[in-house]
Amino acid sequence: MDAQQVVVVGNGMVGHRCVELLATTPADFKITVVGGEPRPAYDRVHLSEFFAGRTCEDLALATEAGYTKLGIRSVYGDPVAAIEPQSKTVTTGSGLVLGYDSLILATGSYPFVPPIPGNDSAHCLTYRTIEDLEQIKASAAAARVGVVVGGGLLGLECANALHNLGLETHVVEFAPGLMGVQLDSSGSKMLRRQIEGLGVRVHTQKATKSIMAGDKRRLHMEFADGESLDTDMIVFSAGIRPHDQLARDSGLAVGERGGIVVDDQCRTSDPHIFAVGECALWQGRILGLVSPGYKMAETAVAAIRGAPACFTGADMSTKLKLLGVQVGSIGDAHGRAKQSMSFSFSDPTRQVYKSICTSADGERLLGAVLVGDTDDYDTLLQCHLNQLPLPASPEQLVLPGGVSYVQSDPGALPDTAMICSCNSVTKGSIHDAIKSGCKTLDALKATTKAGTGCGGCTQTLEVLLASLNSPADQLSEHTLECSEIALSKTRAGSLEKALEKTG
Amino acid sequence: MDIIAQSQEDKASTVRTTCPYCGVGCGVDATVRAQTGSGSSLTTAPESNTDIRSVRMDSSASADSSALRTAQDNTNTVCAVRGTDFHPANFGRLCVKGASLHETLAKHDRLLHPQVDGERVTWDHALTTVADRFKAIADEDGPDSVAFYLSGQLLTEDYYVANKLMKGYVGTANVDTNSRLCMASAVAGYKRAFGADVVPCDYGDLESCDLLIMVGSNAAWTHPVLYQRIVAAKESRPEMRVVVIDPRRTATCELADLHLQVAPGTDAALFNGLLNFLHQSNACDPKYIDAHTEGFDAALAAAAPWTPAVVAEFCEVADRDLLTFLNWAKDTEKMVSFYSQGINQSSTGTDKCNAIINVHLATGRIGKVGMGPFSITGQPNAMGGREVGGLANQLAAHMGFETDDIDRVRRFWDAPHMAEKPGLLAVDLFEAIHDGRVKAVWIMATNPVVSLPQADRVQEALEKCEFVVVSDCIAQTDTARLADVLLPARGWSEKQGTVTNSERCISLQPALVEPAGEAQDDWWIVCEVAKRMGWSSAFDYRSAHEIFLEHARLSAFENPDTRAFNIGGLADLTEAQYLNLDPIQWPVHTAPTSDSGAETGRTCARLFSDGLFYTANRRARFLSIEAQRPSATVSARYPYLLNTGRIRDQWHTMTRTGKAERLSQHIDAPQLSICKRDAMRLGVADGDLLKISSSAGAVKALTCVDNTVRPGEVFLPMHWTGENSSGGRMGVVVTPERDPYSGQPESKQTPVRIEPVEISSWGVVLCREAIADLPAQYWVRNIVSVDAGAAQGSQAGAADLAHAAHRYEFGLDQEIDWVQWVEDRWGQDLQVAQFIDNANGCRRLAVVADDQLLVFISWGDSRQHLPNAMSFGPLLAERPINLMGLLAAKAPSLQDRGRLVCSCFKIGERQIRAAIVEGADTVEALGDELRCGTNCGSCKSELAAILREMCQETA
Repeated sequence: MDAQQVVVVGNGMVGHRCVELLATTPADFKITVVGGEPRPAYDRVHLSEFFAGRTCEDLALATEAGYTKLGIRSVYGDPVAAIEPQSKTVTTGSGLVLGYDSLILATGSYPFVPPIPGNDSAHCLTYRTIEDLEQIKASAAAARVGVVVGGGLLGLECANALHNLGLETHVVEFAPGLMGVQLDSSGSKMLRRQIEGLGVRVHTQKATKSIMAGDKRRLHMEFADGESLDTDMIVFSAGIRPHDQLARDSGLAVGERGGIVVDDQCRTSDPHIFAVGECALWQGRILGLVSPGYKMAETAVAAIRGAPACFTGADMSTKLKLLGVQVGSIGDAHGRAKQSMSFSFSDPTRQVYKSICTSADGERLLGAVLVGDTDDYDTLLQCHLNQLPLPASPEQLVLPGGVSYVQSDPGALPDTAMICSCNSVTKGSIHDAIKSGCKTLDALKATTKAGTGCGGCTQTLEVLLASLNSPADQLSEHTLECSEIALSKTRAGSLEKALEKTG
Repeated sequence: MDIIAQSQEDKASTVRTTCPYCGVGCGVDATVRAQTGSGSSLTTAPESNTDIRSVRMDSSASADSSALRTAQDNTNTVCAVRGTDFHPANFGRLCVKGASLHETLAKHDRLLHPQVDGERVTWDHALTTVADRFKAIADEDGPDSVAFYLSGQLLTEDYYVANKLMKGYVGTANVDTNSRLCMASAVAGYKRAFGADVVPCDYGDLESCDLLIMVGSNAAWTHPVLYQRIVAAKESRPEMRVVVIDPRRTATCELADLHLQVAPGTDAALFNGLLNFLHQSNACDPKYIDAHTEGFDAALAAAAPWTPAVVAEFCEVADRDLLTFLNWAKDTEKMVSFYSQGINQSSTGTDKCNAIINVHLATGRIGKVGMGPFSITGQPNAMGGREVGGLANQLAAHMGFETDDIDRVRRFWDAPHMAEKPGLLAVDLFEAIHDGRVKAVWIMATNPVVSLPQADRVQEALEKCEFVVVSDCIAQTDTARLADVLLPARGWSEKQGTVTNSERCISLQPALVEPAGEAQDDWWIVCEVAKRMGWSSAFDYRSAHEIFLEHARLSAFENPDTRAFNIGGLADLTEAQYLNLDPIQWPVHTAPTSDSGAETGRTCARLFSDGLFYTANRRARFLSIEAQRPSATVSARYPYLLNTGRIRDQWHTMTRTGKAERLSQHIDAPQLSICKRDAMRLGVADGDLLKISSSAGAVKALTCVDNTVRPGEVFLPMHWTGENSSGGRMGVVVTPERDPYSGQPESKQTPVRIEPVEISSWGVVLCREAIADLPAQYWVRNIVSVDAGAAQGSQAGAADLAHAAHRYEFGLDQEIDWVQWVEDRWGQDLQVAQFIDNANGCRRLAVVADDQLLVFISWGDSRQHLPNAMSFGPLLAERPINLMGLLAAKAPSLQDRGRLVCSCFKIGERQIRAAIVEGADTVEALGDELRCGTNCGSCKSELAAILREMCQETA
């Protein structure tokens, strides 16, 4: 059988993932990837580290040379301009025509810039690509004040960047709270307190009315409530919009508010065209995280292979550090499920907020929010993903005086337990990888891909490495005792580190 | 605790005083503990191991009229109370309200300093302001442009000087009192019949009669000690019969051999019918009628149409029951008719009283042991006010506005400006304030914005009034809020003077503890104002004792037995004798000897035993009574008839009883009793919120479906105010219909409309602070104790703020972000624990500040999620804070014992029902099992009702 011609439009993280998956059986496919940006895929999740000194090379997930080595044709800086479904070809801006048997659209999204008069002024920027970051860096060089419009996850990362660049940083958010998607209102409040504690000024329930040239600073922002703010630069990070123009132009079905409509196989309205990642609209939703994007990539590639695969949604859990504040969000973070109950505790003296949402009987974890202390994140995530039973009186997981929770200790997890939800790596796979010689975290990541997406499972990987490599493990691999020892070792280790820092 | 008790053992003493609640006037032995320094409040059970000895006052200790006020560095507290064994009113008994007195003396809500226009001022400044303004307004617009509105909670001495100032010096009779709402019709009835305001019975008659007719009285709840005496009498003489006449099936009915559940306001027809029946049956006493009465024929003629058949139809009672009642009355010589607000609070209340008195005159059943028409009063000193004449339609000391009387009082007082005509009665008085005829009013010890009919209009009147003075113990009341000048008054245990109870028995209330803040005696406040108005010598009293002597002298002044009230025998008491006065019944013509009275409770000859009355011809008068229905009638717009009254464990506007946690647990919110049929008609169930509106205004209350009321009739308690509820101020809805003779409002029969109020969120806020601005459509506040001992049923209570918290139950028609509300109020540096139960629609929120639980909020989409037991207050004090318990409702104190039935031992209905299931089949067995009903006995009738209901169900 001839190799299938597959064209992947877009070389972001998800597009790259598609290429990687297709490339696992090089004989089956003739792969072409067309990127709109001038460089191959890079780690957008850790983009803000660019400001901390990481280079493009550090962030890169792929290189042209690497692709070439795998027999993959890559095209950069020449985005696809048109799709002709009839003839099953795509045409790039420069006129390059590529034929395909299957087409994967991984065009991603673009930052939403609210329709505010003056939003196109100089020093009004966005935050998505390395080019954006370069512009921000340039603008910030001679600036004293910076404003981020948008208090979501990306907006706060951007605020972090401006803060680190030494700017007086403001976050302007239309909604009542920060990170409204991932955090419940109390978690959001705790985050705000801490961010404000760091000197970032947060303005919520603020609608920007206009942006104009300023007297004191470069720009003058006016708000609907009559207040105003002078700033040297504005970065819009008010959400994303799917890059669906190409699909629209070629007659593919798109959602009312954008997004390329896909089915559970990530197939668009044209059976030969797939869409994955942030450009795809699945069950009326755009899923703006890397983990579901990877799952979609797996689904689409499986479908192209003719294998049974089904995208059933993805875990949107996330753990990150924003402006030095640990934030974690698991599953039903807002506790919206009808048959559920939630416990939360907000402690301003320790600057910690924790909430859990459990099933109505209190036996399963449906969601959690952690702000200020995400030590329990991995445990809770495993508990959530693997439907592990919660201890009696689950409120003690968040309330002061409760016992620490070791029941879902990674060592005690079943082999089917999902450890890395970005890359769908189970404990069994990790176990196998360790057995077959992975002694370090890097080796484990390289072999299994676990921990290479959002990185939220890194701690669990360390624990598994420690526990399975320990001498005790030779006697009894899965005993709770040994994993407890391992866990306490790990914790002791991080405590030592913490003491070193403060000391 | 033990150590504290020991170290202070030698400083505890027991002092005799009088209960300040209802008109029974029970003797109280108060254990007073002197604490050195700023010692914390001490709460112990009354049985605690202290050396209690009875302290008799000596004159040397009473130089400043406060015998027990000791050196400044000492703080006296009343730490326990019990009934005085030999007091003729109670012989050692106390009801649950009286037994909780020591739990109600917390000072956190007291008015501590004089204020003018909201600013704290000196006493001199405040008194001068009052004197100057009253004088200026009276000079400018005449004496009738100023008024006093007094209270049955004032002491006789307070009443006396207030009355003297207005009627003899300012020159107006605009001195009325909240007793107008209570027993004015009884006064008018007695005066019309006897020529004097004389209650011709004593409590012993309730025990020695063979037929007790209780009309319009729920004594089991309103006068529990008398009720318990009756219960005991009936137990020892089972042949004694009790008939209860009441449109409601009250707790009192548990005692009744017969309950006539009459149509509201039809009592006059019933007694006219009785008079007619007695005459038809030849059961009248023609000899007595001829010798001692007049007007019998006319009265009989008026009663003649009231045949049993007509009466049965009019009163809506079964013929058989009516005939039972008529025959028992015919056949029983020793008959007492015991009546209260059900008779008095009526547009024809005076006629009803006389219809009752007619029956007693016609049978000669008066002035003899176990017989007589017995009006029972509701306030501790309504009787003292009547004796002083502190009512707008009396002058003084049983004298009226006849020329001779005016002249006599003028001479006695050496008065410059005598009032020569009656003044404005309560309802008219506030109407006159509303329309500007009265420009200055001084309100003492009462809360007319809550208690008067058309209370919203009363509020409006005071808002418009040029000058409003309020003297009160409590800082925040619905009335105090409208005052230009606020004067802090001493309360029970701080003030000193006499009261008279419903059997004309005078008792002393001594000062036991230091007054709160700068609080002063009411008599002192009045006299200081009088002095500043220019009448120094007439008001230069040094003590309540001096005032009492003058009052006694006036009662005897030119009184050759022409006036019934005469306590001339007490006019020469020394201060020591006064301070040690044994309870004494008037008249007192001669000085009491040391061994008279106390043992028997009988200190004077029975009044009217000689058949001589105080009319001009010394004959008692029959009145011709035309029985009428209530003046307001139901209509399509207002289809229900609203009845109002007291509940068992609260008194008046709850400023005192509201402070004792256990008294708030029997009924903890304004609730409307409604029968099952009407509730179904309205589509409401227990606990649903209702709006009750009349032509005067609207109130809100919770639905209480019960079988105590007749279809078409509802009942609402009178106690809730704007301070402790969002819409429970009963007076708002009562219309101003009133009796033409007594001026007493018809508070028991107001036509109303009832509508359900949509509530989507019910909850409870528990907080150490009072919250004046709770953002809820409906709320009601109670005090809960956070003293663990109190919660376990000991006698200790919320004696001070350190042990008390406020509990607000609320209803909202929309969700509120309570976390935001908490942060807006207390800031963000708070630990906040939350619980959300989506499946059951309920939430909890616990907020911690400085390692203390600051506020706890529990709410949900229905009342069934409300933590019912109020005793979760102790969780506020628990260490460490049991957040898990609070949030997940696992704390033992949150477990529901059901509605509190026995307040003394905190026994709930669920516990009682469980004990009955386990085999406790009598009230006594329940008492053995749970202790319920074994202390004050107030709940025994309810225990009996629960037993009866359960046994009927299982039978």
